[in-house]
Amino acid sequence: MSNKLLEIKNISAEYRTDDGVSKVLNDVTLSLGNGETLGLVGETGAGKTTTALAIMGLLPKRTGFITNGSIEFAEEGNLLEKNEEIMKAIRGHRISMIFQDPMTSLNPVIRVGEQIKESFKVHMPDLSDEDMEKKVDEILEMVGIPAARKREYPHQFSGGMKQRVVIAMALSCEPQLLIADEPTTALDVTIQAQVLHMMDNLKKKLNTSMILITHDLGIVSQNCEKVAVMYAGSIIESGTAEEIFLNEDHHPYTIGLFGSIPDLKKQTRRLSPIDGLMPDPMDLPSGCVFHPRCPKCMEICKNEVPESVSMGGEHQIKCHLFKEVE
Amino acid sequence: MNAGSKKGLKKGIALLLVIAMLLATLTGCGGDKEPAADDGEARTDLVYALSAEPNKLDPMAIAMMSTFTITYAIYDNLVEENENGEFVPCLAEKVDISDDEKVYTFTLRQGVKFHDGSEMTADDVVFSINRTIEKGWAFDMTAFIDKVEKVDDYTVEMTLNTPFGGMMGSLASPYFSIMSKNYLETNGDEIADREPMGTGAYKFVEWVSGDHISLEANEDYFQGAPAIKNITFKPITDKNTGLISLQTGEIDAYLNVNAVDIPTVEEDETLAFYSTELAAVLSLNMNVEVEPLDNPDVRRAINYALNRQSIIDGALEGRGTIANSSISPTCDGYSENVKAYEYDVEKAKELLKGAGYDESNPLKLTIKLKEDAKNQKVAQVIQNDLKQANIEVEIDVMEAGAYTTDIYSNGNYEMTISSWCAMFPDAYSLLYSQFHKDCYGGTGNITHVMSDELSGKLEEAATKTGDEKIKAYDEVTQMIQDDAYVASLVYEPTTITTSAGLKGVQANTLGIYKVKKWSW
Amino acid sequence: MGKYIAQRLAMMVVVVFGISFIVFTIMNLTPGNAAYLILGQSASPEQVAKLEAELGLNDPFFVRYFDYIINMLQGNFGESYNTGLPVFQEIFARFPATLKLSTVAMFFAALIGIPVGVISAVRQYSFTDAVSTTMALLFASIPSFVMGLVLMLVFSLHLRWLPATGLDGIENYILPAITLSMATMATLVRMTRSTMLEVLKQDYIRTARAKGVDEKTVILKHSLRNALLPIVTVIGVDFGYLLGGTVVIESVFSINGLGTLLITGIRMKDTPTVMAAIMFVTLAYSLVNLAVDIVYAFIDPRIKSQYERG
Repeated sequence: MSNKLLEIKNISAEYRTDDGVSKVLNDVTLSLGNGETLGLVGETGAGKTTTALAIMGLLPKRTGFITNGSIEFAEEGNLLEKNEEIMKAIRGHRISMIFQDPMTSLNPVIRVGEQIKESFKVHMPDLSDEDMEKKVDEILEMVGIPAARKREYPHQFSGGMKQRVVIAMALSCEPQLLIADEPTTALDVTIQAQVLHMMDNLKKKLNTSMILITHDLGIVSQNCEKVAVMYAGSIIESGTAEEIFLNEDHHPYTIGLFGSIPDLKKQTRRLSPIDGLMPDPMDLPSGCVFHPRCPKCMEICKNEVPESVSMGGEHQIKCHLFKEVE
Repeated sequence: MNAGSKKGLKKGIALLLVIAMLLATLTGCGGDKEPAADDGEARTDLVYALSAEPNKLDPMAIAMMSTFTITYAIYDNLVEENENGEFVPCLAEKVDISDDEKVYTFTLRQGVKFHDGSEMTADDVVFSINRTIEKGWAFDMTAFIDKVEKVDDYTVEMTLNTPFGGMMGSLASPYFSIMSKNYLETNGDEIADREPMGTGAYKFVEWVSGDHISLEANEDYFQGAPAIKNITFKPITDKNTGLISLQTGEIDAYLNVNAVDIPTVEEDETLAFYSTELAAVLSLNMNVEVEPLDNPDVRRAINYALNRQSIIDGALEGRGTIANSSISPTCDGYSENVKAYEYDVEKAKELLKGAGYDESNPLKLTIKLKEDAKNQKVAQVIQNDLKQANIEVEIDVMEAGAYTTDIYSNGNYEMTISSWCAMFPDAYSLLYSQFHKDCYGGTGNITHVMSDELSGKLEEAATKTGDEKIKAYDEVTQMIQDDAYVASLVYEPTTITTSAGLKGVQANTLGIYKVKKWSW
Repeated sequence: MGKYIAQRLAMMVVVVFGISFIVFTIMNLTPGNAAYLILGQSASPEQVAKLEAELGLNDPFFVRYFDYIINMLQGNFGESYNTGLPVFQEIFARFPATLKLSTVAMFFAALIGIPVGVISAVRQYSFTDAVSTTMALLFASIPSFVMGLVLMLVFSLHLRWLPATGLDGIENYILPAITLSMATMATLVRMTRSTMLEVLKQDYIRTARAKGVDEKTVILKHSLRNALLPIVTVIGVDFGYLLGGTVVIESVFSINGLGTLLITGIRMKDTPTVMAAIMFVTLAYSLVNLAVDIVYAFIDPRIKSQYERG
């Protein structure tokens, strides 16, 4: 079992508000090994960020509830059973997260170096001040920013530079797992490549595992060993990158998502839109959540939630079209 | 219960809790207060609160009655009023009046010192009286004076151009305070405004603008050093604050607390309450030059339509007496012979009909007022009364500057409400500026009565004394009453509230208090 | 930054002059004659005319205005028509009291208002939140003279803890300062709460939490400083307003302050006093505004950059 770094099993989560209950995660199962990168793809609102927040224990306190399942991380065990003190120690240290929009991810009134140093203050308080400063310098250099700029404020940096700072912050304590939520979506195409390249180098250097949340299949194809496709809070298909890109059988949603499956070596493919909208998590369809939009919908799909079917290797699909393969 | 109604419930409970806390605090403060501890030794200080800060302390140029308490403490007069309202010698040992009542000879007391140590002599008296004449504030008194001369160092002779029944009262009024000629000539006349010096029971110590005025006892006072050694006068403009300050003992005296608070004061053992007749007449003045008030029947109708008792009950918390004439009972020359108008609405309506007004054509008038809570209440009661007689009254409250311009400078008004105060306890003081033709407009005759006959009779009455005086003034007031030049309403009292331990508190006839007589 | 400050100071001078002209004009256009008001109703026309001549009230408008400005530039603000005392002296006798009172009031408002606002935001929708926002609303709604008198009744009369009037010692400042602070405190509670709520929703707060920073640091170090801008604005504006003196509180607590001087001056048409007092208040208010803007620069480095770019 566990050379697995992260095992998410059957996680269901909901948001409870005055307006009703929103089922945002429905029976999510994922796993990740050391040094691996998992690409988590899907439309906006599928639950990708929510999954990330659930791992981090950062679901909104008053309204977010995990109703089922477990999140096993390294030797820590089930994160859901850990108290806040332990989770704080893990966040930013063992598991780091970077968010989508670098323009707003940094505190505008605190110097950049200070924001990075803060991670050390929280997680490595025994270091001397001098040592901390040295480490800050090091990590900045690593992301390609001159250490002298650490006394500047975020507004003095461009978008791409800001994202590098964010990445520096996340990697400063050498986490085992980095969750990157659409790290390059807000950046110029030209900068995107730089940042991804840098992230890749760091990943190799520090042997960090990564969950890469993205819309962009090109990024997935270039950077991820494993892929999971999310729809309406469920993982409807998952497997290795080769399985997802090269195999014949796919979930109808995946097919729609990819248009036609591209070559592993081909460049970026845009997502082609599928008719209809993602369902309202407060009012999910019965049976298979995709059935109202599915071109291959059958009677059974309307009533029964499909089980995850193994297609060989690590390839799993949640669809009534498929049967267990030996 | 879902999150939404839970939120609402929390807010509701929170509101109730807050209101409960506030109510508890407020009901808790009913103020059952223990009297201040008696530490055996009598106090020698006094804190006297004024309702407004004086702008100057020159007794010959003061517009505010309450300031006279201060000037009476600092200055003396030739004669003064005693507890029975009689005029007795003060700085003048003896006053001789000639047979024709035109020459007053003052024999001055010797050895009376001003606060700077110099002696008071005839020079000072002559100087002071001339200054009074020159300053012009007491024109109704000084008009009678022809000249005043020094005879010798301790004798002064004052000659009038006609006899004047109110002369003694005038001499005792603050306008005739005796000042030091040397002091004013050396330091300039304006020094009297801010740093007064006299012969009185108290010496001026300091005036911190806006904060307080302090006086200390004159140990060498010729009548004997006063019991209270230090007095601080502080302005407290808000009457509620004044009451609270009295109750906490922060101040020892305050004039005219709100009428609604009088029951509280009377019940409070730590406070003493005194009420005295003020030589003031609350009146509804009418501008007799404008239509339709130029018609005497209309004015009489208004007088008949007024329910004076209801004004006392409705606006003055029951304090006051119905005025039967324009002279107040504390003034010499007053009599009860002149009768007030009876309250008779039918008569009023009859008179109005004669003038062409009735239900279909009601008389419309406006009362202009300054911003004064009490007068506004009075106006409202009047408005109500007059309505019964088909007179529609509009009340127009104006800012002080605008009011003065309209009423005094331009005479641009129909009716207004005023309290006429006597400056010396004589009918002349109340009637001259109000009704004499020489005082038209700004000087006081806002009624714009220009009757030669009335003016003549008034001048005559001024020369009389004794029973003749009363008869003469009866004629004058009867004339005013018949022609209804004014609607005299109520004789208003003045009140003072003090700490209970204070003794000797008594107002003179003008409602001014002499602190030199107070003690603990 | 220095250039920015210099520009602002220059503008202030223009504003003060402009105000002086407007006030002078208004004082002249409103009804009421200063001489009459000073002498009182029973003054004779001769007396009035004499005083008018003494005060120079008969000269044409522009002559009087320019005389005033020229004198003012030499530091002579004239004498009060009412008391005859030099106006400058009158104002300076009262200003320290008003300044001290305003400072204590503001301090109190911030001391209570900001933390309550923060707690309300952090514990949004809780009972604490409901109580504090309700109380804030209630206190802001109670008229200041009622609040002042109630406090006086409770603390001076009933409990005898504090004096009711005057400004002799530090105890005297407490009740009026509390009364004065109420309105600003309420505003601060609500402003702080809403700004904090805004800030707490921001991405960079999420980043801080994702770093494992403890909640207290998130609130105090990461959030509050970003929320400060509107809070500082409120304090600045209200402080400037209080410096103008609040007549109602001064009347209730019998405090010899700038507000009473100003209102009395207006009522008595005492132009020199009113002119000087208003210009003084204008200046004080402008300086406070400038101070607030400078403080902005220290709170938010983005604004500092803006000033430096000019």
